[in-house]
Amino acid sequence: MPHTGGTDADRGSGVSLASLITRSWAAAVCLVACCIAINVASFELQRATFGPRVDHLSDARTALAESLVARRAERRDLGLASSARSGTYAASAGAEAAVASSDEKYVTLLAAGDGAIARTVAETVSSAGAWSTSASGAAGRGGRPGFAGRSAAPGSSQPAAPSFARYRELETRLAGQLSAAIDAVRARRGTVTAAAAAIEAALVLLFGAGALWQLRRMRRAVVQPVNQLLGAIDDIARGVAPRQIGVTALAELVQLQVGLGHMAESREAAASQLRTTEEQLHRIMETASEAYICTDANGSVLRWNGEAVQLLGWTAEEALGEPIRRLILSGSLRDDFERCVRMSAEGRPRRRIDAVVKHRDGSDVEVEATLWTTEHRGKTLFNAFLHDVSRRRQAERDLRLAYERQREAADRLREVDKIRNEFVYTVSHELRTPLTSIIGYIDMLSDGSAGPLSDDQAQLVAVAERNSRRLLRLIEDLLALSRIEEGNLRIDMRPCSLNQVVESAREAIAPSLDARHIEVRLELDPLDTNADLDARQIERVLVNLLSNAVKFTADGGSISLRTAPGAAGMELTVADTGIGIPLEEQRDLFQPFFRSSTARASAVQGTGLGLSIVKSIVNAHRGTVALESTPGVGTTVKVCLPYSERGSATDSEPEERLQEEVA
Amino acid sequence: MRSARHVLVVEDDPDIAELISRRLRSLGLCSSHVSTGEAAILVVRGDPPALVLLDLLLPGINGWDVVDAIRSDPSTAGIPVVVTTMLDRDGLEHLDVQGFLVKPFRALDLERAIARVLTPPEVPA
Repeated sequence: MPHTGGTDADRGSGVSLASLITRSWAAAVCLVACCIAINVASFELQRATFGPRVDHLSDARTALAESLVARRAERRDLGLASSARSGTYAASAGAEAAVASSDEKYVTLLAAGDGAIARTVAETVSSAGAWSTSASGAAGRGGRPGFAGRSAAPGSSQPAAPSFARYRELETRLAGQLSAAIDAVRARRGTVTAAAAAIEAALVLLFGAGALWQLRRMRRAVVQPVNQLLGAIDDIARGVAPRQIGVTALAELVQLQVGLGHMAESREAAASQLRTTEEQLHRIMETASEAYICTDANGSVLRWNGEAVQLLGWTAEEALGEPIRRLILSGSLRDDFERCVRMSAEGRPRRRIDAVVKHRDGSDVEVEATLWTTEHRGKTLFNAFLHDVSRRRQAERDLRLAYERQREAADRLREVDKIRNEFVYTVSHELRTPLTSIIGYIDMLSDGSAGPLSDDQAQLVAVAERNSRRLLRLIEDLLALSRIEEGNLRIDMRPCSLNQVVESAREAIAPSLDARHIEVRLELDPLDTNADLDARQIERVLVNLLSNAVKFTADGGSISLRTAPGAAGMELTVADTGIGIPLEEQRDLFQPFFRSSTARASAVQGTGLGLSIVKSIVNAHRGTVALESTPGVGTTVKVCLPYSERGSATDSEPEERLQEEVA
Repeated sequence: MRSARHVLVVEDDPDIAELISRRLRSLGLCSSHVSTGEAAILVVRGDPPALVLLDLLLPGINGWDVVDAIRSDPSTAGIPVVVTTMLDRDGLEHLDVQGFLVKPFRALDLERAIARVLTPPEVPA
């Protein structure tokens, strides 16, 4: 009987469904083939064995029946013959010949058939022969008519004509036996058929049993494992290790199991990584130096990190699940929370705002909040980093306040410090202080505040006064120069009358001309054209030039002052008939502290600053200064100042002039 | 109580202070003298003068602070101040004062400055 194949012990393989099906089909085919074979065999057997035998027996019975008919006919004939005994022996002989041929037929027929029947038949024939003998004997005795002795069957003794009755009895018995033999053969044939049917039935039953058994195995191999696999999928979904299926499972299901196992592994790996990442994130958030708050769309707090506890006073347990409005929101941030909600719906997720939130104890906390939204499983979450800026804000405020309060002071201090830190300033300050006293007291002397002065006294005082003013001028030159060097000289350019400036300058140097015999000539522009200039500075320029002229011109010489409009601007010329300057030194003249050899030779007092100041001031006016000189003849200095841009002279308001010291 | 024509001179150099006082006297004005800014603020508050002649470059707190102090106190904010200084006027535009005197100044300059500030009837011609 065909078996479905056995399973292997290891999980890697199992019963393959395909092989199972193949085997089942093979079994079925085998079964059918067997049944067919059995049927064919039984038919063949019957045909080969039983069929002919039955046919033989049937033929024998038919022959027997014919024989009986013949016998009856014979008997009739014999009867007739006997009735007509007085008849001839020939009729009976004919009848006996018929009977004898009939007997031969039997024997021939049955010799080929069953042995027992044949024997019986032979016996019968021989008996019949005997009968014939006996019959003829009887006949001889004059009893009943018997048969004539007939030719005996080959091999058998020549029997006498039997008695018909006995013959008939034998025939009946033979017929009965023939029928019995036929029935027996038929029965045997039926047995074979039945046996074949039984075998087939057994085969079918076996097959059925095998199929049932296989189904059961299939159930074990398929249904249970499938259920287990479903359970394993559930396990994976729940996150536990998947259960195993039985070793008798189908190979395909085993592979499925293996696949599920892999899936479970990778899922577990991913889940584990996710856990790690989440832990990391959680740790980062907890230890971050920014307060981090996360709420759902309704404002319920979902996350509240350590820094939030520090900043806002609520512990995590207190804060989680609470509405954020109640906890910290007030005023502006509440509105911003709403706005954040709205904006996230519009798709603008992130903004940074300054806000004031409430501490648990009610105090205000100034924060800079960064707000953004995230999505998590279809829900919107609001996130915020809060950065404490209260200290910064306070510092800003303090700073602003302090700045406003101190700005002027700082300006002042700067000015003062600059002044104080400047050597020249310091020096000039130090020099001017006593000079102020000197000039002041001399003033008081000379204007009679301490009483009238004699002429001598007045003269002495005048000298003191003159020199003190000179000293002052020197200091101012120094100061101016230092400021010029620093670039601090402020030029206040206005359209001014150059003639007026010249006048002032001449007045200023007038005292120095007192004891001298120097002619000063003025040739002033009759139009009094204006030029853009700072009157004070240009006055200083003129004063310096004139002082130089006075210093370096001997008595009897002359100085001329001229103003005239030139091509490029107003021209201012100071010419003297003094000692002059050698050509090679003329270039250096405008350098600070440069003193020409002639000047030094003449022991003319001076600082060497005058011309450098002149040059600086003129440069600041965008003008030019040029010097020509011939030693022993004289020096001419020409200053050119650009014209006023504004055309005609405007009446500028008279400045409140400082009460400068003018000599 | 002093008369309304009392002038406070704030000057750290004693000779110059004496000079100014003499001049003021010759103009018919009384004067008192302090040599530091702190003292000046105290005196101005305690005994408001008709005019303050203030040296800008002082030891300790400087003249600017004194001006601020005077101006910020409502009781003294109206007192005219004339500063004396050796500086150029250029850096002093923002100063809320009524006159500038550049040292060294002449008697005439002082007179003119005071005349501009104190109303003529108070200053004898």
